[in-house]
Amino acid sequence: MKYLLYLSLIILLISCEARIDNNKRALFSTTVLDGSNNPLENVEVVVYSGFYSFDFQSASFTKFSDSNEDFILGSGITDSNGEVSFLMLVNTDEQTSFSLTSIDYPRRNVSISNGNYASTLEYNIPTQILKQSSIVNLNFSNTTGVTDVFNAIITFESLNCSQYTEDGITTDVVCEEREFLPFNQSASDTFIDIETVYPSAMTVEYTDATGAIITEQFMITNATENYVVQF
Amino acid sequence: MSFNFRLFICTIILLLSNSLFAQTDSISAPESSRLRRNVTDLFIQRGAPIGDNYIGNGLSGGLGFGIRTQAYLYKGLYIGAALSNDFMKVNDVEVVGNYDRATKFNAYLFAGYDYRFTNLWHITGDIGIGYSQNKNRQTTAQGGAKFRDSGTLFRLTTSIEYEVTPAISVFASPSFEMVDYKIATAPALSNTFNNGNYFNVAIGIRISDNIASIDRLKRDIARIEAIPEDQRGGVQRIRLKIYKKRLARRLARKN
Repeated sequence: MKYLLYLSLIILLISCEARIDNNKRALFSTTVLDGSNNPLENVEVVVYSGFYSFDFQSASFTKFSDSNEDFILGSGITDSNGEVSFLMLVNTDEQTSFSLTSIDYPRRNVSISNGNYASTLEYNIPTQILKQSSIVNLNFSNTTGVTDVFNAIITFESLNCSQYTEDGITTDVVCEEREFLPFNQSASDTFIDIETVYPSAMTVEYTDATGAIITEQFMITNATENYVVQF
Repeated sequence: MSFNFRLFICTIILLLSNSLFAQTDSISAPESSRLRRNVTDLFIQRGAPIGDNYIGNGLSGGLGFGIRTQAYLYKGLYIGAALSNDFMKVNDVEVVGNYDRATKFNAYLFAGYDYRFTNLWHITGDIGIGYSQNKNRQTTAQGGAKFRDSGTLFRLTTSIEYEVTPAISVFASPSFEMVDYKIATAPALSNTFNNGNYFNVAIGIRISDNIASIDRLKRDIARIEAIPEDQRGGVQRIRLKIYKKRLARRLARKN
């Protein structure tokens, strides 16, 4: 009886618990600017490890995964100089990322390498640029009466640009997005709406009836742009 | 169930099991000859984080509970060990970090003196050193993470005690704790995470295991000597030596 009691006590003591780093506090700081290099105020900066929100068809779902995988390590709001600095917890077992959220700008996510940051506990992140969203109406207009169907590759800057920051250097920026569009399938012109950011550039590339590669570039400088590709 | 809480339950069960599985004796000695062998405290306490540091500025105290047991070496001089758990809330996440609550677990050793200033009243004072750990938890909205801040505990405990019966007392105990935390921080955060201070007030019951001086020692010696020598356990042999030494000391003091 006595040994059974002691055995049950040992079993009671042994178990696993999900956790983040013990005995650590870090300092996170960065500056947020707009596309014209002006400081942005009231941008919410949230540092997290793992995945804590998911955007699906313009709706945001939070906490859909196991709660032990998604830890919010710290958060702050940028001041009038676009600067933010706050205390954060540390989780070196999982990828650390931060998000920039503002009413006027599309959300931006940035991943961080824990390597050098975690050893110094100073997360001094390079300046972040937030760009406003833009809708570009592209109109493919048939001016030659050609009947061939063409395939266009439209290259533009991603609405939710993601990047990777390591040891204070931004590397591996993945902002480019591509859309493939067959056009001139019917007699009518072809229209397409592209969601991107401004200021940015958009290129449209296709091979015409003679076999020549046609490339056109458009500058996106407003919330709404209308461009026509004549063929 | 947290590890600290489980450790706490295990300690209480072990202490109780010692009592359950041990032989019991009745004590009927006169008050004047009653001496303490060991005492066990069960208490609840209210802790208050204090000081200009991350504990004092970022946490607020709550209710806690604990257990202390002490053995008397000579007259009122005692040594002992203790475990306690205190529950605290985070007041300011900008000061402590992004979590919601902390459970402070202490395990420490102490030494002090128990002074009986009337037949029924005692005051005690002791200093202790040990291990302290804050188990910090986030809310589900924060992610539900757990992590620990730990360090070395230095503790000063006092108490005033009233004996309800020879075996049962009630006591009130103010105490001060300083924890030297081992938290690595960014240089810009300065030294606010180096230490934390707490002031606690506990109330509880004290269970005393008394010895009734010479008569009781003689009875204990006779009981062990009644067991054939080859059938005595290690603990019984050690107890017999201790009882004989104590009896010799008390007889010498009496003469």
